Amino acid sequence: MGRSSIIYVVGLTLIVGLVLNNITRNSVSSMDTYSMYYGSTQVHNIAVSVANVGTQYLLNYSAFPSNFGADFFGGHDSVIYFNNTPQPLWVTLRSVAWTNMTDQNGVPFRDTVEGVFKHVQFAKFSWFTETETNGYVGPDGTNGPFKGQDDWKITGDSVYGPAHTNGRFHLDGTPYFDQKLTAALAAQLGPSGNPTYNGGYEWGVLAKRPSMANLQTNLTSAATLGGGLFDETSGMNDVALTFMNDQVRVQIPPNGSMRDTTMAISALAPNGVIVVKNADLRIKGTYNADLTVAAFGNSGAATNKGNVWIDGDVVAKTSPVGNPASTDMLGVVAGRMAYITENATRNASSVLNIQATVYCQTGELTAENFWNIPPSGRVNLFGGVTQTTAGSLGLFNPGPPLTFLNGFSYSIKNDPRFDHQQPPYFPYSDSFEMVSWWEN
Amino acid sequence: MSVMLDLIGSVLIAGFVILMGLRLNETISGSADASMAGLNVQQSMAAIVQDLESDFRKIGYTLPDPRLSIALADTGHIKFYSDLYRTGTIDSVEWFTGPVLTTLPNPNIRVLFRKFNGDDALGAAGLGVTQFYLRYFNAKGDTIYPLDALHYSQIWTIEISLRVESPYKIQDAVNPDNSQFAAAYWRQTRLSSRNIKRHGG
Repeated sequence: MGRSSIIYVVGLTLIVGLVLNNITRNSVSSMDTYSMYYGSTQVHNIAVSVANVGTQYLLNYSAFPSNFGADFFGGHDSVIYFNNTPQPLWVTLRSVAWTNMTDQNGVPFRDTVEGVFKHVQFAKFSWFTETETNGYVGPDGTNGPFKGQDDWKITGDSVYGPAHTNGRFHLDGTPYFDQKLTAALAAQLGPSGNPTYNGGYEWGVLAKRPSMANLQTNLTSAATLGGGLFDETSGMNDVALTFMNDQVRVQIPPNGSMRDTTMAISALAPNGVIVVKNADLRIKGTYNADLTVAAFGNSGAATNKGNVWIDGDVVAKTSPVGNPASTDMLGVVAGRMAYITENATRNASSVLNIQATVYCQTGELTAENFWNIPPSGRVNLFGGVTQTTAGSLGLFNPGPPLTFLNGFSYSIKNDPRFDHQQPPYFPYSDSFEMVSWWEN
Repeated sequence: MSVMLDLIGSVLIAGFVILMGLRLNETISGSADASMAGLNVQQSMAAIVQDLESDFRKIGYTLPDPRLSIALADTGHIKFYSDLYRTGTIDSVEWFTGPVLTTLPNPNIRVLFRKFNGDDALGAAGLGVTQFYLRYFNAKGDTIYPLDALHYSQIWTIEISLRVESPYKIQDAVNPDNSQFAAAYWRQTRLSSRNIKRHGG
């Protein structure tokens, strides 16, 4: 009896021991799985978090950020910035993290996150403003009647391309934004504001524009070195360019009394940059080229110069509408305002086509005396506009029914080519934006 | 007479001891079984989740127009584009569940498939998936409705729910008389790829 009891107890102990060993092994394996997932998640979070910090340094920098390291959340991370090749205006941020904790082989957990950034290119914006207020100033320097009033985007308004303001949008009803909407400040929504953000939105985004001095220097240098420069400092005579496919008619002043010549665009501006200095530029016609035209004023008598006047259709010979393979591309840069010239022959069924990206350094794209002229039809802008203030082209009674009172209605359609390329020497921002973001 | 009483008593005591032993054996076996099933479920879950997170974080990577990142979005099926392995070419990746498997004691288990480009769909790294559920939100945090191709470009974040169960029932840890499937549940409430939040270009 005694011996059998001992055998029984020992046998039972062995069986229980084996089972407990099995359970313990399962527990250890379970802990291994947990630790592995925890470690990989932890190191990933470290890499992403410090990459976020590095990204903010880059996006909000006044001086280009330096490489840095950080001890964080039980690990360490190093962030380095390096130039992206072959794109010279691109920067890659690499965040490499490792933990103090090791895996079952004794190796620290490691992870890498990479973000690629580039300077914001203004050509891509269908709509860009510094502030969403009207800023009409006449060619003589007098303010328009709506200057300073908020610009509201309402039901029926659509922006088919990236849109941004360094201020805040004013939105009411159901305006539609087809691509991502960004702004420095959160949008002000009206009482029935329910906009559609088809590509999402992001507030707190600032895209700094170059100073007038830098803008003018860059373009004037390009025009001097390999483009066409019209320095009208002495007479301040405006320059008119009429594009005729690969030719351009140059008239100074616009009636051609001093100069009236026609020449190849490639001969006038081999590098595609044409600048008018201390005068206005008037443009129209069909272009067969990749070029940027610009006008700049100055202080003193040239204070109100530097405007670009759009006298008629400005379209590409090979239309980019539905044809991103077209190589005809136009950038229009105004140091001051871009005006659609008043034309008494227009009526409510007229159509003005502009295929270009327009940039106004201190002013906006607008229609001359838009509040006084009769209904003048529709402006189709295939490209976009970057401006200081939110230019208006007409007045309307929202109704219903919606009724045009003065000026133009308009449609801005995004030219997808500008997502990836710009006209020559077209301005870009000091600010960066994300191109891609890689996480393991 | 006293010998008979001793024999009867010893048989009874031996019977009790044997019953106790059998009961102990059953309980220990059940615990070991439950422990192993729980471990399998956990390992399956961890393996699937790591693959899911890795893929979903890359949605839209290097795609010129991020609005076109997602080609198909349904509650149990997603197809998206990304240069997944940084080869310079855009790949397509699909995650979806197949029909329930009828050969297992657990009637809810299905295979979670991952399909890469034109390759055949392969089962995910872990087994025992009983739920794979996706919800989609726009930039305002609202559920996207209707969930059709016209609205895929509005997808900003994705919620993924995943439940993995054992194929057979195991003993309940609290009440050994009960049995149920070992289960693990994981939910990523707002998983997003930054590549679909950027401007195009």
